[in-house]
Amino acid sequence: MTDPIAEQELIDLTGLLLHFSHALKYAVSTLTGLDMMESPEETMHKSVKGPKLSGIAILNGSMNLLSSITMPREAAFTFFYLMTGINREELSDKDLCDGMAELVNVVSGMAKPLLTEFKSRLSMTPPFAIIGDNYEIIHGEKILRASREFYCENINLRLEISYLGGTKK
Amino acid sequence: MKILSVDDSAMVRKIIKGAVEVLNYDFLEARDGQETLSILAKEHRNINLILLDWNMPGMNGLQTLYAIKNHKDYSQIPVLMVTTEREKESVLDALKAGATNYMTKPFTMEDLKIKILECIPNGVKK
Repeated sequence: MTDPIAEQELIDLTGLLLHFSHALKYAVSTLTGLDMMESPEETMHKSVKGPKLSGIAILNGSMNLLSSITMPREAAFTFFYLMTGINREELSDKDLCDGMAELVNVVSGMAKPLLTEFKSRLSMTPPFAIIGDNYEIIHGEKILRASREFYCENINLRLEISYLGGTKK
Repeated sequence: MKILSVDDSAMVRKIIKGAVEVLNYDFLEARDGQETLSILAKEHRNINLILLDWNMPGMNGLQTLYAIKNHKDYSQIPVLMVTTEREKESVLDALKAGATNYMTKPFTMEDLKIKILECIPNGVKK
């Protein structure tokens, strides 16, 4: 039986995150016309604060990953206006959550075939969203996580993946 | 002349609605496979195209596609898969099940309009 902790050490989470990062930049550019830039290391975890929302998807198969995209609520209004043309006054929190869930769905769907180099097929749960003033997504200590932040104009967001184990490398 | 969009995301349905209306088709929407079958029961004679997502709770897009293509009254309606699923196997599964065409998310409005027109026999507009 494989030791899940030893197995985790063989996972190149940063490499996996790179696939999600490329997917995110492409998806955002296609959907909104924005060219997201990677935030410098020193600003990480400072820009995505206050009321915010996260879209989350879980990928299952030869590896199990949780992917999330988190955006301040204020930035989300602008983002989804650019994506849909719907004015802020007409966008509810439910709409924002729906949009964030769809964004993580698109990004994870794009990254999914690349994660296993097409050797195996991962499945993806229907995405969901969290919204609130002050929350964190917490995993156990031994869960590997990797994240990046991106910005463009007044929109900033955090992309994060967590490795939840798997059956083979 | 109607186009039915099936997607669990209201935001995606709104985006698709924009493209459908620009093309002068009437727009119908469903949130999942079960709702799709209910709409088809009433409207199948008026529906020219179904845009079908894959990753939906309950009855997923592929299951819905099988249900449509195995029903004598609905099987001739073209189905365009509009999904994040992009593995070759997924595309083949959908085409084998009877999908007319396949489009991956994300897409631009222009991409969507072109695909819609490709899927409708003779590109007929109302």
